[in-house]
Amino acid sequence: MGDSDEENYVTFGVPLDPLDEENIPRKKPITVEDQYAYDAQGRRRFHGAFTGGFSAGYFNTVGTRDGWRPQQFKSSRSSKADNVVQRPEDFMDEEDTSLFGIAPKGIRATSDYADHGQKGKKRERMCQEGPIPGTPILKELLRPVKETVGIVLLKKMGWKPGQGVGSRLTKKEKQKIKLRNEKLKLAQNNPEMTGSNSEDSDDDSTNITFAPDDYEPFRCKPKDNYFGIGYSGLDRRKVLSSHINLFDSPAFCVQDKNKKLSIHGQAFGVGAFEADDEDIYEKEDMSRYDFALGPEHKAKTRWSQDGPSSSQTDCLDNFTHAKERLESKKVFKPPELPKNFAPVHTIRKSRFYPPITTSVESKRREPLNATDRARILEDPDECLKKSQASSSTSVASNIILKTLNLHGKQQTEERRKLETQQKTTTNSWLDKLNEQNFVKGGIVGSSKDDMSNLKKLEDFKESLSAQSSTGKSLENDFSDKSETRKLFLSDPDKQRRFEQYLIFSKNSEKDKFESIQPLSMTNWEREQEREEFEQATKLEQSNNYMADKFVHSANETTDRIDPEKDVKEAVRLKMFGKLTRQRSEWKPTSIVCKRFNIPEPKVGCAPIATDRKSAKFSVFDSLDWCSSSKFTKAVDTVETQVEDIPLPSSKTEENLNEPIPIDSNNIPSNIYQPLEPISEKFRIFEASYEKVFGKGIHNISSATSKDVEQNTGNNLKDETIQEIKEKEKTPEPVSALKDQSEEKKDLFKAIFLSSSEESDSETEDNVDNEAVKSILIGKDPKEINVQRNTSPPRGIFAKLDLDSLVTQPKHVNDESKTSNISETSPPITGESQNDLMDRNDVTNDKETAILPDMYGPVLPQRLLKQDSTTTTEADNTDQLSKPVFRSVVVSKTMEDSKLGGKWVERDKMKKSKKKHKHKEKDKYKSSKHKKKSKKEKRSKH
Amino acid sequence: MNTEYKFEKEIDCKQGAVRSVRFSVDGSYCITCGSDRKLKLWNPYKSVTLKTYGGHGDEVMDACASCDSSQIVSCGLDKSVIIWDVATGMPVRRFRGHAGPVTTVRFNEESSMIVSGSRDNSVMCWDGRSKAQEAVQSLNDAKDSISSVRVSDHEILSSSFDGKVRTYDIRVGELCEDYMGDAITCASFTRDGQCVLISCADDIIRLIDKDSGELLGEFTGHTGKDLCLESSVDCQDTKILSGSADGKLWIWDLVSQKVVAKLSGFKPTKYPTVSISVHPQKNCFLASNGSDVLMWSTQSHTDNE
Repeated sequence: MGDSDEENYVTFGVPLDPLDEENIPRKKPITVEDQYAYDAQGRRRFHGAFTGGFSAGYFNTVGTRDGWRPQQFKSSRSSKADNVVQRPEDFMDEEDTSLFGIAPKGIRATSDYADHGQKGKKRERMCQEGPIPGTPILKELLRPVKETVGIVLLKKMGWKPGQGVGSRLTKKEKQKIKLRNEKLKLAQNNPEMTGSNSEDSDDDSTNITFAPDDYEPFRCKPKDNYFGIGYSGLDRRKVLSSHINLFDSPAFCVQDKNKKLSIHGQAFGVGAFEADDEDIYEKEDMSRYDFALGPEHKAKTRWSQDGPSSSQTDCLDNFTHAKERLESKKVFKPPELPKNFAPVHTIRKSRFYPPITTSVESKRREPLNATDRARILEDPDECLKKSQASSSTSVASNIILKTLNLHGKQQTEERRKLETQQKTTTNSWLDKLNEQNFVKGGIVGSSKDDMSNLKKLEDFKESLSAQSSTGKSLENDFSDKSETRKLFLSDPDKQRRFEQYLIFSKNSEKDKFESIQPLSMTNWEREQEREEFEQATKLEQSNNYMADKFVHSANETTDRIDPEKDVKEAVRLKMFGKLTRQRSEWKPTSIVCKRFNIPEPKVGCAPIATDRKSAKFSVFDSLDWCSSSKFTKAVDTVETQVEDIPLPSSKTEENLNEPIPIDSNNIPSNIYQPLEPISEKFRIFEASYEKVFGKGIHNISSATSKDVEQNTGNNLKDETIQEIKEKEKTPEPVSALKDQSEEKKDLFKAIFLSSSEESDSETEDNVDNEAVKSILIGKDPKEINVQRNTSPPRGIFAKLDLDSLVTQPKHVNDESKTSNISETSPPITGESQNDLMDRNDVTNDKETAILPDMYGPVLPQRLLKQDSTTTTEADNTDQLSKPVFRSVVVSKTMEDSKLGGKWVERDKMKKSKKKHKHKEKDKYKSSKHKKKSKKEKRSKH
Repeated sequence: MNTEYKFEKEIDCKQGAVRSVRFSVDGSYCITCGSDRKLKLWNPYKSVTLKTYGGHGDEVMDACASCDSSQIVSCGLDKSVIIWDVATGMPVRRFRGHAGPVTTVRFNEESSMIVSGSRDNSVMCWDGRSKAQEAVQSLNDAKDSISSVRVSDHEILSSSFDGKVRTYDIRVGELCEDYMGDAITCASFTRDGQCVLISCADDIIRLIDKDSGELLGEFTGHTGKDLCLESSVDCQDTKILSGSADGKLWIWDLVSQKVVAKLSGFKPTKYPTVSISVHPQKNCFLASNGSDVLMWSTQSHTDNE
């Protein structure tokens, strides 16, 4: 059965060879490294350490056999190198783009047609997480829809995309609808669409129906330019290429009454009812032609101002014309500018600074001669002369004579003249007062009659002053008209008016100026001219002042040279010592001191300012000076008054020799004098100061008149003689000195008299004067004078440190006391000191009257300090170093010699020198004596 | 007091014209400045040249020995001031600050500072101790050439051709200018320091009180002929000495202002006596005359010796 057993089984196929146990080939599993990928062509793919990716280049290295070689850049003229754009395909083999490659290329159904259910199943499964394997049923059930329900429904109803919705239409119907649509489009300003619609072929078969056209969706044109909304630029194509359709009807026409308005495809900004701008591409329109004869109807804009007379046509519908016109706006005149207004804003540094004056525009300078300057400066001498000439015959003087006679006083002819002069000067003061206190109404011309009696008098007085001054000025003007003030040469009338103006302004009655201006001038012109003249006068003044200034400085230089001469003279006279010696600060450097084993002097002191540098007197300071006419005038009047006083005093005949210097002032024969009144005043002032403080006139400038020099020289000589006498008889030196000092004081007073002084003299002598004044003004002359002095010191005087002047002489005297050379006996020095103090007091009174506090806080110190640099001060410092001489005789002789060098006649000079030498020797002996004794002592040792 | 002046020696320096002759501080030596750009140190009593100092670029104008005789400062037309080491004969320092020929130079009392005057109108102070090459201070007040400079313990005295003697008081910090009317060729202190002796170009030697600037005496008679004559007082402040164009040494009595003596050498000379130097302690005078240096001494003095 074994066989049968085997036979029991049916065998199919060939049995395998029995396994050879021993020869079982040991099959090594192929390692990953040994597995190679080959492509279809048997090329080995996927080199390298990684598998996968592109197979490109040499063994997937994206390079060549020789390694990676960059593309070589080649460019020649014939073949330009074009820029290479690399694409991924460049690095792919063809298998990659084959059907089963990674980037297969070929025609395939798009994703729309692909079965959504199948695609991406694997991935979906991957991310599926849940208990139930496989795609979730819900997801299979719910598929996202691509078409809206409406479309699906339509499709189901047989709609195809591209067709319109609706019942089917015949061709005619369809065309109608099309036309209608086109019209609508036209309304949308789409003219292009109109013509291009093609006509369908005309098959008239009415049976055939068409689906209606699909609706054209309304497309919003996005705005892509920067023009205003609705603006479309001129179409260039139309204008340039094709011919312009002249008869193209406007897109939008409105027929408004008679006018045909049309709207072209243009910008938005023009209103519907406005006439549009006429442009050069205007299209012709028949509406522009007239078709009927008749009155022309002007096309009128809404704003055309034809007034109510025009027809109602320019009134809009529903509007009526107003019955009353609106009141036109009242136009007010611009405010009038003040006369001294300058269109430039200048700032004062502080309120202590002098007011800023408007700079006068530079005009051409006129060469001025002495008389002109005198006239401009109202030089009293000149005035005096001329007024004397004129007023002696004037009616005014008669009137005054009458008024004087009322008081029963008979005056001599001369006296009367003097009176008139005084009147004129005081009158100007009166006028000023008037100006200040009450507004003077128009005293022009005919209005005089209406004035009251007093007013008449006043008027008269004014006219008197005017007359006198006009007399004077006429004289002046016609005598030297040729040289001066031809500022308005081109217009002789104007020139004449200018001259008149100057006269008026001098009399401070500028109001009258209007009367001489011609009636033909307008107000504005008048004002203009007035301002012009004002400027011109200012300019004149400043010019004049400048000239004066320069003369002054020239004098100063001579002064400066003088000390040098002095020194030389001193050397010649062997007067070594104070005169030849000059001390100044000097600072040794610290190292020098160290090497000399000397403590450094003045440690901690600020570096020494060199004293030698004298401050420069700025020309521009003068602007202030000349503008502050108040001050100048005040000074002038001071001088005039100065002149007035001595004359009555001479009448008293008590002290004849006193007013000599002033008399000399009164003598107008000198030519130089009017040249520089201010400087001269200054000089006199200086001189008086020096006299007071014992300096002597040695600093009196050469510019002062000869008479003054001589007189003072005489005086000095007297003084010196007196002093010599003093020396000889010591018992009574005090009285002599006192006399002398009295004299000086008087002189000083005479020159720098204060208001009280003047009034005193007046009250003394002429009561009539007072009376007249009281009639005329009703005011006390003292008050007037007080008013005069209130002007703050300016210009030259502003820089004078009067305090220092006051203090210094004391110091000097101290020195003189201590100095061993001083030979004056102590009582005398004491007396002189007292005297000095007295005089100081006098000056104090006088100067402080003018000085600071009147208008508020005192000037800042810095201003006062400057004076150390001014010339006067420098002189004083000089004084400091040599005071002893002054108290002793020597200085006098010295100044005598100096004078002799300049002015005094020969014989006089000699005399003085003799004296001088005598003194000198005395002195020397004494000093030598000392030395000798010293030496002798030593030699005896 | 009757004094006789004895002519002691005449030394031919053999260095061209002797521009100046100066005693050393202790009076045992003298320095002569020659126009051959050399400076010579002498023992004048034995007429022996001790050392010659060469290094100046032009004529040596003036020299001064330091207080310890270890240094000499000299100046010359080469615009430089040189400090010499006496022993080695080498220039220690050279100051070149002046813009013109340096005509005069002095040490201060401690010899720590050098003051030099020049034709550039300036007086300059040089620090002798520091290495600084710049002048410590420049006194630029003069308007003309500086003719002489003298230094006291607290003052610098300079004279200028502009006719002014300037006294710089270091202690007070003050400059005092005295105008003399003519160019000043020499200004020197008297021994007591109270007065200043000033030689002017108008042939007047003036004695001025230093404090007040007053004239104390005038000494005239000699001839200047626009030479830069030097003047001095003798060591007792009783006589005034001055060189003269006639080649003699003029001596005045200080008090009486009369000429006491006109000293000259044995042989007549055609050269003027310009530079003089007085022994610091005794009445022994040196004067330069041409290329020679002459020496006189007072009889009394020799008697004492």
